[in-house]
Amino acid sequence: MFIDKIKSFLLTGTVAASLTIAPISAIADTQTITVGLSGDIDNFDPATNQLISFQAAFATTIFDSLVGYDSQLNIVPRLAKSYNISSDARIFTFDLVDGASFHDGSPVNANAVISSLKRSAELGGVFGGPLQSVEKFEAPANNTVKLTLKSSYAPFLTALTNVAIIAPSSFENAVSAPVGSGPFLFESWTPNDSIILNRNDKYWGEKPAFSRLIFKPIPDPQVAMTNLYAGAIDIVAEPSTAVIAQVDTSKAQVIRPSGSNSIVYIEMMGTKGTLANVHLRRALAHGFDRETIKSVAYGGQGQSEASPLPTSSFVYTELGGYPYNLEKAREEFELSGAPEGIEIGLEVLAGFPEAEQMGRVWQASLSKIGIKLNVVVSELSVWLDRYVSRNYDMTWNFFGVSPDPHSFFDVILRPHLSGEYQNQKVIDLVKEGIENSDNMKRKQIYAELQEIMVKDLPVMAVQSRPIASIANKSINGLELNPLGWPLYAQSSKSN
Amino acid sequence: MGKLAPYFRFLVILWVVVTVVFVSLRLTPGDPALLLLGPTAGRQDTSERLADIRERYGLDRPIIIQYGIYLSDIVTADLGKSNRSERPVSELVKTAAPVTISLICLSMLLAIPISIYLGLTAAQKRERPYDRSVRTLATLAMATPSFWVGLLLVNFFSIRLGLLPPSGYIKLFVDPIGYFSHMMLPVVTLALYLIGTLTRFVYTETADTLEQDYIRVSRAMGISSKRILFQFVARNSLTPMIIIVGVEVGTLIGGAVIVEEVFGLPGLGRLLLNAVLGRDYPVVQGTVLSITVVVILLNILAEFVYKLLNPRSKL
Amino acid sequence: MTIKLMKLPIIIFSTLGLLTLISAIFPQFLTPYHPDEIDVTALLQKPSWSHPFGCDELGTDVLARIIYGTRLELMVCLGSVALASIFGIPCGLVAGYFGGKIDWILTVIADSILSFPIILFAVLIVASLGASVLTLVGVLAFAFIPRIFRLIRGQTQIISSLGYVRSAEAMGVKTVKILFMHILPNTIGPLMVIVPQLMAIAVLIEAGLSFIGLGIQPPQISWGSLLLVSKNYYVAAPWYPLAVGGVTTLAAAVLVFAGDLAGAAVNPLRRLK
Repeated sequence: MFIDKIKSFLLTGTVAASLTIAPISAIADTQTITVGLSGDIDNFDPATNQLISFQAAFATTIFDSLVGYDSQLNIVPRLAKSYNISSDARIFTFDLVDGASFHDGSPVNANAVISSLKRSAELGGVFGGPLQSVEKFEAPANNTVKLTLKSSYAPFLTALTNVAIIAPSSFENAVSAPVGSGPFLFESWTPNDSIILNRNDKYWGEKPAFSRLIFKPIPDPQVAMTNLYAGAIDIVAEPSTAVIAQVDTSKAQVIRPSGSNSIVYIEMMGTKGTLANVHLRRALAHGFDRETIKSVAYGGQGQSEASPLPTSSFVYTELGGYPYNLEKAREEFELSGAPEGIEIGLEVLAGFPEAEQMGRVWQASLSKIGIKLNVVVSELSVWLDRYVSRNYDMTWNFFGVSPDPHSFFDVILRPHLSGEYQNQKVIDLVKEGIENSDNMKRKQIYAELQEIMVKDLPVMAVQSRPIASIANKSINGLELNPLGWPLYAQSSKSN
Repeated sequence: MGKLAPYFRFLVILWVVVTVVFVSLRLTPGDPALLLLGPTAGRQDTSERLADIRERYGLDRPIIIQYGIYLSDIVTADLGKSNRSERPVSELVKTAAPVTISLICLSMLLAIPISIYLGLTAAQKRERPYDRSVRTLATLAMATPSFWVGLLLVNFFSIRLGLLPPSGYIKLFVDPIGYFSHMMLPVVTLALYLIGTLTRFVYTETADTLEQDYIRVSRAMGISSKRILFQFVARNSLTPMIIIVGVEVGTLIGGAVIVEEVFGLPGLGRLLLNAVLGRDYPVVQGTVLSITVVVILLNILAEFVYKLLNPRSKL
Repeated sequence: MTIKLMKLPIIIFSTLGLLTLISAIFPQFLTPYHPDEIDVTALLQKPSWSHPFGCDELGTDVLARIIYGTRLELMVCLGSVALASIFGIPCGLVAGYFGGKIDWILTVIADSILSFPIILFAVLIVASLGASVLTLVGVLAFAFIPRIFRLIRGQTQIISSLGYVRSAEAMGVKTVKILFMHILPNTIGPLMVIVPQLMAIAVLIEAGLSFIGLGIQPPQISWGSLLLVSKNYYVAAPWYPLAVGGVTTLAAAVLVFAGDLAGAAVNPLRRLK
């Protein structure tokens, strides 16, 4: 009776439930492309958000810069349709594109551009820093910007690729309501859910083939892949190495750039001063098993070199570095005079299994010579905090080195140079490097710098990361540049 | 104090919980303003924000005044602002709450009938293979880490079979089919522990009651055992279930935190988790408070309903 | 108490208990592998005779990592229950024996703690103090104190009304002596029921908290952190997460069973909760 009633209730319930289980059919909306990001973005101001994932997602979508990169990392004109550099690399003149406007309708003219550049200079940081060397901002014509630098600065153009031009009306609310001039406009941000961009129909350049670009934060790479296979998202922007290796190529495509400039570093000179002694740093380097780490964390891919610059760089120098050798490591450890069983912390960013695996391998090697490595995995905001205040013994990091070698010394090394790593020779060489436009001379300067980097080890280069994005078979034309930026605007989606 | 006396106890509990949250911030080593501010890398005007925080929470004033501000905030449902997105915490909680409520309600709707059925029938067929297997399975259901099962289910149903979506949430009124297909795996995962616990509970309550004298007497008098089971036994065994369910809501919420993380549901659990990992203390505090207050209120409700059904019980 | 029926389960539980203790104290006796051994040729290897549960993403034997992880598990389980008992038992005795105001205050405090879902409480503490083994043990202990308190209090109330306690009072035996010599020993029975249950809860909560990053972090080894690391390999190497999850489930289930048996032993008619 009653049991029968329960039985029939369960039966109808199950039937009803099974009717609602519809197999996932990818009703392809060719006008919307959805991208899975590895983390959420909460600060949309391109002058203060220095995260790589922010740039990779928005530098070419919401924003424009004066000049940009193509997929081979050559500099190409963007908002500046043409430019002129004086022979001493001090005066840069840019002719702006005609008829370009910001998303709020205001024109992209010289005055607007200069306001935006001045703001970036004021805010400084990684992107605005180079602009602080501008002595004069001038607008000789409505659409011409002339910048005069205090002294020659060879990497100025590459630096400008990082500076997004935003509408002066948006300065106040740049953090939450970005207004750029790019092929997509910012519609909304729902925390932990999605960031929605719409096509800018008034874009001065080639308009994207699709009308909506949605970013969804999906921290777990496996979940992101499952969503991709199910058709819920179209692209996984920053898949982990493990996931890339496991991609089912019948269901999805792996898109790789022509080369990888994304280099992994271990930064060793933190404010804690534990690694002040160079012998200790060398001990750690000799105890770093590159081959095993490459196999385990990077699936055997990438280039594991001593130089902190990518092998594609025109100044790249091959150096011996510190081969994995536990005896040498032990020697250096004893030379350093550090106590037996010393504990050294390695800060690692959460969500990067490659980093944790590297940490484990290194930990195992170092324990054999009496060093206890503590791998501390932290969430992005916490890691970033420690990174910026350099409150660490060692930290894992990676960076897309631009074609100009100065970017490494500017972004990665500079905080150390003004902090615990006081090397006047390096400071002088770096200065020479940027003031010289002669490529031959620069090659010499940077060769010497690379040697010093390897000798002193304020920062140890690990290897290049095999970067890729994974996309549905329905996505066409998507390319990645060697910095790991997917060029969304030029892609399209078919059925 | 009359009828309301038992509920006074709950008010005290509520007050204690609220105060514990207040105290936990201030007992933490370091400056509470810094804790509320959170990580600041890449942000401008930090000192300004710090001053704002000190003023808003009265951190420079005597602790009594701070407590007063805190209490008045709660009463006016002003839980402060997230230190990352600057959005009001109450807004974030309101947006995320329906997801978690759906999850918990659906889990209970699934778990309660199944547990009742299994528990009752197992007690009826006591010591027989059916009973033993039900009890063993129930214990296993209790012992399994829910997220591990959840991931297994995702792997099987989503990845291998492609039948169900692996993550995400669609609002019921936007797309009912999508809503259910997205909720199915998370609900089953969350309900698993509850089914285990409740089945065991129903079993022991029923088994106990079946041993009672008046049941033996009824049997002797010839009343059919099915009737016995469902008229007398069920009523007596199931009313305590209300209390247990009230208690287990707390456990369910804990489980929901993990299930939401695994299945990417934008509910309170995920909100809380991301806030903890990102050191967004105002959101952590506000969410914990909201959830706990609701749990206590639900417990009050459960006790009230229980008393209605069973006026002779002394709780 | 029927001793015959109890024999088989006792043997099973003792063996498992012994295995667990050995895993925690002398793990090297149970496995020839070291949990930090990296073998590049054995990445994500399938289970085989030499590696019963296969190998993980660094080529380390999975079973070895599980065994070495037992130490932290045991520390968390036993530590939290022991700590909770140190506070819960005396409070329960006092509340149950003296009643009145102090009982009311202690009960309200206990109920308040019970109203806090354990995970929420853990979240609040971790948000302030950071994740570590100590915070985990502390949080769990804190969550367990009211449960132990309630049990002891209930038992104390029952026992206090018994004849021999009354006569002891009348004879002028010191209160402390009554509490610890007469009442406490009689609460051991029910304690034996609740302790395994709490330990099972501890295992599951540790697994859950470590999984979401609020407990024991990799590369420290605990079953929870292993579950976290293995979650990336459900497709490529399913034996890895299955093994870890299976062991965790088994451990928690065994503990619950142990509690059930203790309950049945203490009082055959007693409700099994």
